[in-house]
Amino acid sequence: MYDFKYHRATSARQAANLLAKAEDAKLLAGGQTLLPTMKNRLASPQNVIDLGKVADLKGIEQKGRNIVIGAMTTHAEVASSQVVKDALPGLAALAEGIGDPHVRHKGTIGGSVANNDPSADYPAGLMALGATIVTNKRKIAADDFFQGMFATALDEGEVITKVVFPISSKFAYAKFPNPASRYALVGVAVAKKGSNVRVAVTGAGANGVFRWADAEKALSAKFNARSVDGLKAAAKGLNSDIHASADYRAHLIGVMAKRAVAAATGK
Amino acid sequence: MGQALLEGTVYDKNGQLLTASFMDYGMPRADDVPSYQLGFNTTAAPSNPLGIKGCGEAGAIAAPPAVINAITDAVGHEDVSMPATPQVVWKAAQKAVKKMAAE
Repeated sequence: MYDFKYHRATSARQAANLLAKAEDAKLLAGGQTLLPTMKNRLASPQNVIDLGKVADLKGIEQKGRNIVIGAMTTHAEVASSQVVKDALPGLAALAEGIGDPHVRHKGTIGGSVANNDPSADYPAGLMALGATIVTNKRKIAADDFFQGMFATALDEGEVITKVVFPISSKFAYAKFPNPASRYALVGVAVAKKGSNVRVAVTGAGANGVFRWADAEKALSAKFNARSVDGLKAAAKGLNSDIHASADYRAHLIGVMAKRAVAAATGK
Repeated sequence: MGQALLEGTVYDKNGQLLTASFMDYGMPRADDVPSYQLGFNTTAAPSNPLGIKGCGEAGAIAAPPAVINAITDAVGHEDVSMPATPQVVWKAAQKAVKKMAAE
């Protein structure tokens, strides 16, 4: 790890000011990606702004037909929240499946979303649920927020403050973990809200999370695991690496979509 | 178990090791191991007074063939390479389906 200057922010506004002013600055949320990357000297920011003491970025509440989760809320807090379990049990299950206990107790929803790792679980959940990412400056729809591998719509000096999830009547996420890293080799989230069905795929796309239009169409007609039978995701544009070929990932998208729908419909 | 199902070293064409961390090298965890029964068959080595044999890798002799034989038995052919990751088994199963269709 190289030397850096440590700043402890006490409010989101102060963090945003520091981020805009300090040279080559990075926000530290749960540190589950940034710290290992710095230790391996793959990242060497000059300034690190810790959000750990910003109290108003934490917490989970239901506001009308939405679940609002503060950016610094950990995966373990989402997984064990009675509010989330009651309104969106599939989201609690998604959080419960991230990483290992250490990662879940340190890693945060804001950090995961801002990092937009192409194999992370949350991006699929946010996109399927049609979540809104709220920053210190504006509100961004999940569809517009995720812009490719590790790329987001965030501007310089922009800090995620919370994520707003509209409550879908049915939602579930299913992932096939990489046998080594346990990151999603392929993960599929499905959500049904009224007649609107959204299917989002993580881990597979060469450009990060994406929506699977064919499955959305089939599931809009009938929201049943059998509706996905016979649908084949296109292998074109999917990742191919030492862990899985694009063909295998395409196959897994169908299998995981089916499992997610089965979980969402309680079958 | 690890050798049969998870552990594999991969190099790129320049000789760079690609599986250099546990994020890429599949080290077995507790939940990768099924329940199993142990059997012992004592055969003393005749070449020394105490009947001693080497140990260590001896424990790795039985498990990989047991696992791989189960897979080759299930798919009906022997084209299954180690480690038999889910992707390897998926490909082997597809070959089995094609073979059945051809017959």
